[in-house]
Amino acid sequence: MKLAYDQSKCTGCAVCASVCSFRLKGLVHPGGTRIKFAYVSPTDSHVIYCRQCENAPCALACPQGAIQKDGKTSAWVVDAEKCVGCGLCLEACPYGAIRLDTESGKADKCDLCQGDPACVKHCLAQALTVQD
Amino acid sequence: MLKYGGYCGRFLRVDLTAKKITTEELTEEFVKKYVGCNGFGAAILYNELPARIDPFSAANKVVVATGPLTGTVVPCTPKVGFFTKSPLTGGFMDSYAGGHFGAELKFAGFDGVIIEGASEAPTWLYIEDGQAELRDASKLWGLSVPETEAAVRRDLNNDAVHVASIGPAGEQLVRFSCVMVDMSHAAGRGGVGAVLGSKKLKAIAVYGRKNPIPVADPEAVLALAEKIYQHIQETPSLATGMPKYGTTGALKANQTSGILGTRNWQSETFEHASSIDGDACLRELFEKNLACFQCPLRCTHFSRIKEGKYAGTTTIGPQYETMYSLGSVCGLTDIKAVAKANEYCNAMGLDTISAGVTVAFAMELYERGILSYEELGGLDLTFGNDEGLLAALESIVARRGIYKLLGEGTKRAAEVLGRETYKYAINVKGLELAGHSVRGYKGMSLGYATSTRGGSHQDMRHIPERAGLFDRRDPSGKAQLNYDITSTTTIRDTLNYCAMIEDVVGRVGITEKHAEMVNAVTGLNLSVNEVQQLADRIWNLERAFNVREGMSRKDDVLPYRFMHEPIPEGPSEGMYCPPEELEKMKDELYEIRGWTRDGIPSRDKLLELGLDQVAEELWP
Ligand code: SF4
Ligand code: SF4
Ligand code: SF4
Repeated sequence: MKLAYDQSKCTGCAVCASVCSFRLKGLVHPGGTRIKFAYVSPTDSHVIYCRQCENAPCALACPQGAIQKDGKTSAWVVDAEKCVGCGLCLEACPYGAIRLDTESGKADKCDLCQGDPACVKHCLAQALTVQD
Repeated sequence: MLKYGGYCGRFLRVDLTAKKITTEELTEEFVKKYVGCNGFGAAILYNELPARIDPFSAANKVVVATGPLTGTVVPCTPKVGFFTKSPLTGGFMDSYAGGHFGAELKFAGFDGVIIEGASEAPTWLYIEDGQAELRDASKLWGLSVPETEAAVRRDLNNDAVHVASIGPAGEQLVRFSCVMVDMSHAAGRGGVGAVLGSKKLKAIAVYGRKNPIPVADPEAVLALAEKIYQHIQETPSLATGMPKYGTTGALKANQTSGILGTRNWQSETFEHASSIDGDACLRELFEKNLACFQCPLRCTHFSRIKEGKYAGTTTIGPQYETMYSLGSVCGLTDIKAVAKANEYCNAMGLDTISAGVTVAFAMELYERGILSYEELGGLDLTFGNDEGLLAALESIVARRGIYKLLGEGTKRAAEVLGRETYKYAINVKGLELAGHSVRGYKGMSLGYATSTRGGSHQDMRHIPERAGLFDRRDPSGKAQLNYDITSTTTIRDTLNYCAMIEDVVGRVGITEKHAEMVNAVTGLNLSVNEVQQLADRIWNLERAFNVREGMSRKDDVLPYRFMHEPIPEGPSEGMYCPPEELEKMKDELYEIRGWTRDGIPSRDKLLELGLDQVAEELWP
């Protein structure tokens, strides 16, 4: 499974980013979310999200083999134990969808909420949906 | 560090005269007593403004404030409040805007900003992650709101900043100019934009990435958010009605009940309603749904005019109030013209409500032969003439001829014009009326008359009466209803959630739900009783502000028309609010509120609410 996004339906509410960051640390934090909200103007905003790529450049770039595909959700997931925080995955991702957590210094990315994406559930505009 | 959740714990203080910026910690005592946005604004203005200053003098201040819910995961909480002594009413003014600005201000580390003094040269304020600076705005002065925002973004080389700005109307001190947030959300009422104009503060831009807001009980807050989500999804008027119509559906509803302000409220049914209603918006304008920060309701419509003489116009809105004020009340029959006028007002920073009602006033004077074609600068202000309306708006911003006077609002204009024009001036305390009938709802009659800010529909709410939960034709019990509703709207503006979810939290009377909301986020552990006391404290403080300015019972009046002319036709024919009826409701309300017969908060009431200093000042 993966996220799908239709910008023509996106209202610019940033709810997806808020709930994603809240799920992580119990805080709304525009600087600490796996799905990023990009405001360009009142009528034109979009989100930056992980595509769960076929041959994920982030996983390929990781020298530690820390980014692995989850068998159940097929999301690429960072193993924080293995991650050394080198940031090579950030550079490799063509979409800007990985972040370095400022507290742990480790890479962090969308894990599809282990199969129940909170951002999708809260996007009542249905700009974000799940795709098989 | 403040021990409560939902706060940054700091305000910025910007002295424009001295060009000095400082930060101030919020004390525990202050937070407990006033809790947030409306409470903060009322307390700061009451404490810091001397009585009877000129609203345009450097002594006036503008407080920008958020509530504890702002920037949390609780849905529908985008608002930011602007507070000042109003140049229209001379009293306390609070006006709120949606968009992203409020949350961004908190992410940048501040619960609010106190703007004081006045700059000699145009300036703008930039706030980013705990820092703030004043910048030169000489190149921005004169620009429209969209141009200002674009220039600020360009200057900062950052599209993601959120901007609150004024347009040329505010610079020119048109008394009903507003502050525009994110280009399209107006802190519309009462002339806050003109006060910023008098201080030469053109814009405030904020950007915050480093200050997430902790909440007291994250699990309870998430559970609360989920509950609101569920309520929204199970309520068709919110889940599907909001995205489809936003607030525009109100036009048809009001027309059906015969309470739609038409041609300066000479009538309350509009024979052309169907050409400017919510369906007309969908047919002629709708392009896309937009939403404020953290709002799943997406009531905002991005509009594009595809054909006709206004083809190419894009605007956000119009929302219901504007469809009334630039539509039915001016007799317009083309929704595209309403959208065009909406675009113009938003770009210039004019409050669409006061602007439309003021032009409608001039239109009635023209049709009655009180103002001539020549006096009106050669404009044909026949009701329904969209080109006349647009030209009049343009002349108001340019402060040309008689339009300079009209830019002072209907109250001042009527005073200067004389000739009994006060009979056609639709304002309360100087603030032009919103689009919910004074005559058609007894609760609104009392609400408009006694609201601190004057002709606003955001203190007393019409919806419980419209829904038939209370008999809109019967004055009995309306004082209690007014007390119960204004208590909830005061708490709404203090915690700061949007009016669109009033139903979810409860519209009539403070309940457990209000307490639950504030406690989950802040950890203040207020009882229902204490929340009620908070509402009373803030409302009385606002009232005391106005009393200090010389207002009392005599100012709690309605426009002449609504007290003397029954609705002439339609489903609400015959309804009006004669002075005796209003006076009786006022007596009842003052009694419930613990005010004297003259409408002054009693010494005992003030002491009971912990407003000792106010008690000393009002009752020396
Ligand atoms: S929640 Fe949906 S509509 Fe809102 S910003 Fe995210 S993708 Fe867009
Ligand atoms: S993080 Fe980037 S590279 Fe990795 S799977 Fe997601 S989109 Fe692809
Ligand atoms: S699926 Fe979950 S982790 Fe991924 S972006 Fe959405 S909320 Fe964040």
